[in-house]
Parts: sequence; C-alpha cells; structure tokens
Amino acid sequence: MSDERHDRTRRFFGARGLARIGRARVLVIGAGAIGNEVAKNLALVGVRRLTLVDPDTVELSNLNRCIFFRESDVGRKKVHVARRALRTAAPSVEVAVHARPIQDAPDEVWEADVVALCVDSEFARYYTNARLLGGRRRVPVVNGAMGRTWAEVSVLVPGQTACLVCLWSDDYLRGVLGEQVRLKCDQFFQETRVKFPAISLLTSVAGALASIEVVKLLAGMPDELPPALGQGIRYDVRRHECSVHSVLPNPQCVDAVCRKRREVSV
Amino acid sequence: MAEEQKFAEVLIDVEPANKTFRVRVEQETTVADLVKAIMERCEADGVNVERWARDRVGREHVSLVLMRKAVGNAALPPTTEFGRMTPVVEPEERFSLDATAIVG
Repeated sequence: MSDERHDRTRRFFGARGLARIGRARVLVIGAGAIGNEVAKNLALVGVRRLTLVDPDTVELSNLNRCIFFRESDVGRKKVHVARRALRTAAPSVEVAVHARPIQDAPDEVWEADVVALCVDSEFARYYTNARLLGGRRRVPVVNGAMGRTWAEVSVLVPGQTACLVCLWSDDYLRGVLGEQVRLKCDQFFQETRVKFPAISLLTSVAGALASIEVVKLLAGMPDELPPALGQGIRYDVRRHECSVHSVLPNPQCVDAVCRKRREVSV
Repeated sequence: MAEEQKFAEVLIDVEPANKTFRVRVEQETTVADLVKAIMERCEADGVNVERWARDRVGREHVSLVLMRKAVGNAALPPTTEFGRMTPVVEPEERFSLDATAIVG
C-alpha cells in the first residue's frame, strides 16, 4: 500500500503496522447500522479483505442510521449495497458478501483473522461463539451493540478469554433458542416484534469503538495500542461516562465446549 | 469473603430502584441467586427490574449482569459463588446490577 491515499494512516501505524492491517481478513457479521460503520472504518484504514454476512434487505426505517444506504436501495440486500459503497470509498478493498444468516454461510468465511460481530440477534452471537470455539485457531471477536443510551463493545477470544456467552444463564439461553424458533416459524411474532429506538449518534459510536478494537488486534502494536482482550467497553451518552470492565470466564458456561476447554486448561 | 466467614453483607447499586440494597450473601450464594433476590425486593418496592432492562436494551428477553466494582469493574458469570470469588469479598463491598446491550 504505497499510494498517497494511505499516507496519514501510515504515519499513524507505521509501514509495518499498515502492512499487517492490509494483509488481514476481517469477517463482519451484520451489515446494519454498526456493521456499516465498522466496514467503512476498516476499509478506510486499509483493511483490504472484508467478508460481509447479513441476510436482510434495506428498509426505509434503516436510513436514519446506515451510512451506506439510500432510498433507492430499499428492497436490495444490505450486503450488496454495502459492497458497492465500500468499493467507491476504498477501491482496493476486496469485499466478499453472503446474503444469508451466519449459520448458513459457507465455511470459508471463518478463515478470518478477526470477527466483528454487529448483529441484533443473540442466536447469531451464540452460533458465532460455537463456531469460534470449535475452530482450530483461536480467533478474536469484537462484539458491538448498543443500549438505549450507550454503546458497548467487548473483545473476546472464545476458548482463551471468556466467551461470548459466559455471562448467560441457562434460562437466558433457553429464551434465546425459543425466540429463534419463533422467529423462524411465527410470522405474527416477527411482525409484532417491538422496534427499538436507534439513532446514528449511538450506532456510529458503537461502530467506532468496535473498529478501533479490530484495528488494534490487526496492527500488532501491543505496547502502543493494546487490544482490550477479555474486556468490555461502554460509553454512555447521558453523562459521557466511559467505563471498561473485565468479562470473567465462566467455568460452568452454558456452552459445553467453553466449559470443556476450561476444564482442560485447569 | 475470608475462609472463616460464613457470610458477608454486600451493597448492590440498583439503578431502576434508584437505591443501594444491603444483601447478606452466604459462601454458596451465586450471582444468579443474588440477582433473583434483588429483583424480588425491587418488585416488593413496586419496581420491575425486567421492564427497566427491556427498555434499556430494547429486547423482550434480557440478560442481567452483576458488576463487581472493587476489582476494576468485572462482569460476573451467573454461576459464580460469592465464597469462591477472588480476591475474597470484603464486608460491605459494592456491586451493581446492569443489563447487557444486544442490538447491533
């Protein structure tokens, strides 16, 4: 990456850091508001191989917070619209897209150096966690989400740190699986699901926090830019409070593989 | 909690109730037990913690989490027993109840 486009980025990360970022492959799961932000930031910072996975189509109600979507895109697959916009913003980026749920994506998507999880489905988190726990390599995942007044990101390496479901109770897991069944089978449940307030002011913060952590993982500069491994970061807009917390691993995790790995490591 | 102690009183900050609860925990009390007890006490005060959490995270189904403040803010798994926490739980140690964000 020698062009002038990346000059300021190179001054930030150094040539070696930028080269590491450029060589990396990032899987972005979810191409909604936070996924848009993450994909945009990663492409602009020099990530050249992105994979986007999302089954949804663009809706009018997405346009208040999704940087890539326009009114003319309504009805088109989010990943296709995002790929077109990414190629315009960063022509050197290769974008592989899969317009399907992550559980139906081909195995090759998991050959990533980092996973950015930008979904609003807990089942997708559960599935992603299981795939990462079952993989040969330990792949870090940056999980971005937002509450009503805050953005939240956690940086985990399932099988090494706490996993994505270490804080879940059995009851919560049962609820997640039950909700997934209803979403698949119950049209009325889908249509009457309560819509959550969502504004670009928050999704862009969540996307920025998640992108920062992905890039810290890729840049390989642990002294200057240490990734927040095993930690959660929360920024609350009410009083501009930013807090960092550790996510403790659960020896009795609801995921059997996580539990097993912990028994082995003890 | 020191080895010889059978129980300790801890302080739980609960935002929806806008108050701090003083709760006695035994060595075997788990985080999930304590969260349940707090929810019941809030219910008795007319505060519905689940409704608050649903409003906070935007989903019908929510995951509540207990944060341990004394150790630089740690999110505790629900099965953690107070008697097995490291470092040991101090008397009147402060925790807080929170909800995890889900929407991406």
